[in-house]
Amino acid sequence: MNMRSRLQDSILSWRDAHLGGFLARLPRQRDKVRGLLLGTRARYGLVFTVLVYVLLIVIGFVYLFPLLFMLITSLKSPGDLLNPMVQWVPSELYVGNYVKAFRVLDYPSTLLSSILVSVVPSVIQTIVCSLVGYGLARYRFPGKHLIFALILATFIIPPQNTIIPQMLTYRQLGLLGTIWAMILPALGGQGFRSAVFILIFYQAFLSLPQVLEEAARLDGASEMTIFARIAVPAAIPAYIVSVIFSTVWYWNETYLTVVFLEGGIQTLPMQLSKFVQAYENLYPPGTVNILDRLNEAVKLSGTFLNILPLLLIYFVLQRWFVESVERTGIAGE
Amino acid sequence: MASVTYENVTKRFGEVIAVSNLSIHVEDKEFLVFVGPSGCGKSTALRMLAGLEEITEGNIFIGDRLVNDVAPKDRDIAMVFQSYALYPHMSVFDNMAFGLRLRKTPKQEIERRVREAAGILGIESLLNRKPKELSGGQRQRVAVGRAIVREPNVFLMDEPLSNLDAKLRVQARAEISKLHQRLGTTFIYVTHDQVEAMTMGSRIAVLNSGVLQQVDTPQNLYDYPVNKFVAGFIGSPAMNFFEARLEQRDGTVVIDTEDFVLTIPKEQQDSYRPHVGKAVTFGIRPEDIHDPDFAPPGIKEYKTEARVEVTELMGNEVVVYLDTRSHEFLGRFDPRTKARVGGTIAVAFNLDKMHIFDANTEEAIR
Repeated sequence: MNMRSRLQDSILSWRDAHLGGFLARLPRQRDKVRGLLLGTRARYGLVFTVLVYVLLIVIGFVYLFPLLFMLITSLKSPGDLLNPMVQWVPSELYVGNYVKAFRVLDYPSTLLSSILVSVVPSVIQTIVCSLVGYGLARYRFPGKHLIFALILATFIIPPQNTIIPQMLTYRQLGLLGTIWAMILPALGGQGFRSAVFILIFYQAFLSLPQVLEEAARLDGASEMTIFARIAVPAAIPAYIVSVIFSTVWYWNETYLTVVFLEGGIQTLPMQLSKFVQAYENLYPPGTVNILDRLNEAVKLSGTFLNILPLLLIYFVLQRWFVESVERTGIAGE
Repeated sequence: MASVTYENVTKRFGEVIAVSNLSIHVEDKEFLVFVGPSGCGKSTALRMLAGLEEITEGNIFIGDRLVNDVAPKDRDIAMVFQSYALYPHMSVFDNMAFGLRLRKTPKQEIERRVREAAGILGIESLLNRKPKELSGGQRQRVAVGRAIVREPNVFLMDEPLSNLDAKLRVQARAEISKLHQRLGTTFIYVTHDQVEAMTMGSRIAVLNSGVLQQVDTPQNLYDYPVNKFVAGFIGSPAMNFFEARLEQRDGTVVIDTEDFVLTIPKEQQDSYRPHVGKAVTFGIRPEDIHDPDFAPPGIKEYKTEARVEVTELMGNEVVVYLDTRSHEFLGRFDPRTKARVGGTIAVAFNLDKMHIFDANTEEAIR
């Protein structure tokens, strides 16, 4: 018994002598490791950071995969396409598909039409919607609520329900098949999804402090000057968002353009929708080499050429775009 | 340069009366301050003069011109707003030049006026900055500068100092007073801060619930408030009030506050005799309550006892929170006072400076 307790004592004294410092530091080390893994008040821990990154990479991959697939397939030569060994890395960078798609789409002229049909109405729509939004946000007048309700109704009622009377009206006015069928509605505040843009501007102008308007009025500004010199510069983010969204929506729109333009103007998405037919007109299946037959790579080259201008616009404007979306409080569509 | 006249001006917002039957004449080159608690209608009165609010009834004149239906820009006024209202996307120079450009002032003239105003305010080095790059005090100067360059007939200021910190406010107060002397223009200034009103105004108009209470010089307002509201609003710490009754005892008129009974000085006996029997409010400012040991010589004083609740040493004086049985009040004592928290002390009221108000109408009885 005695010996046992002596042994215990000696073990304890040895422990204190040799491991004392380490054992005393242990709780602190433990806190440090925990902080590193689970985070502290000042920063996220490793576990959380890794989880967030994994999640972001997965989501990013889901969005990027189709684009990547499209780009790589469009660069595959017919040989690579047939070779089951070639999945992601083509054996050569083959641009032949693009040359064909370029010809099939009649790219320069359809691109110009697309720009005309999307950019012009979207700029007009943005200007008109900003005026409407400003009026609704800054003035009190009878019937304002009714106007609001009607604007919302134009957004809620699907365009399919109204397209026939619209088309008949345009026909009577002789607008069908011309760019005016796109421009005139935009000019009247009835462009493609104008209600959304009116609401964006309504919100943007609502947050403009009343006192700025009053200061400008005392400075001698007219109503139009207040709008142009004070309100518009304060709402630049809304303008950027509006022009970009509107352009993209007009660009991708085929339903309305097919009906209203009646083939009078060919946009890129319209041309793409009859890609097969156009290809076979240019390269009749019976007469061309088997390698020149229509294949996935050519189709995807055409698709890529269709979205390329939008991608370029986005890459150039993305910094302002992201900032503007944040400032206007619009998240996605 | 111009005078300003409000003639029976009333402003209603639906059922609410913001300003009621306001009549006041502001002399040319005068510095008039509208003061009152939040919601008393002082800003509305100013905004009607600026043309930012329509007048429900009455007339407003700038000089001899009736301006009821004149657009704000044609009234020849400039206004400094509480939030400064600087145009966020314009540089300081453009902010100041905006009004002049809209009036098609020649370029050199704009340049000259902006530089001159910037010189007066010491903001020459900031002319190329945007408002968001300025501190609060600098923004306030720019807002004033924007008003100066217009060279208006009347300057309107709507609580321009309320967004500044205490130290800066004192400094800016003096600067605005200096500016008034230098420009020699009519200034109309709105504030809820009675210290600002007292220090800056050549006359002060006190408003409450849309009704003008009194217009007078700061000193007269302080010494001879016409009613209990003005008496309580002007002065800091505020005047002490005691609910009381005017009574006649042994042929002399006294004020009975329940806690103590004080005799009205001989010379004033006759003026109060007709009011004997009335419920009144006895008012006395904290600086007119003394520690008897340090009371100024030669004053007519009335002594009573009070318990000391709290003392606040300010350096040059001690603010003492006192308590008689049913009344709490403040005194500003000499710092050598022996008042200690929890103790009882004799206090002396300077009856030369007392105020008596009718308890029902709250009007002063003199």
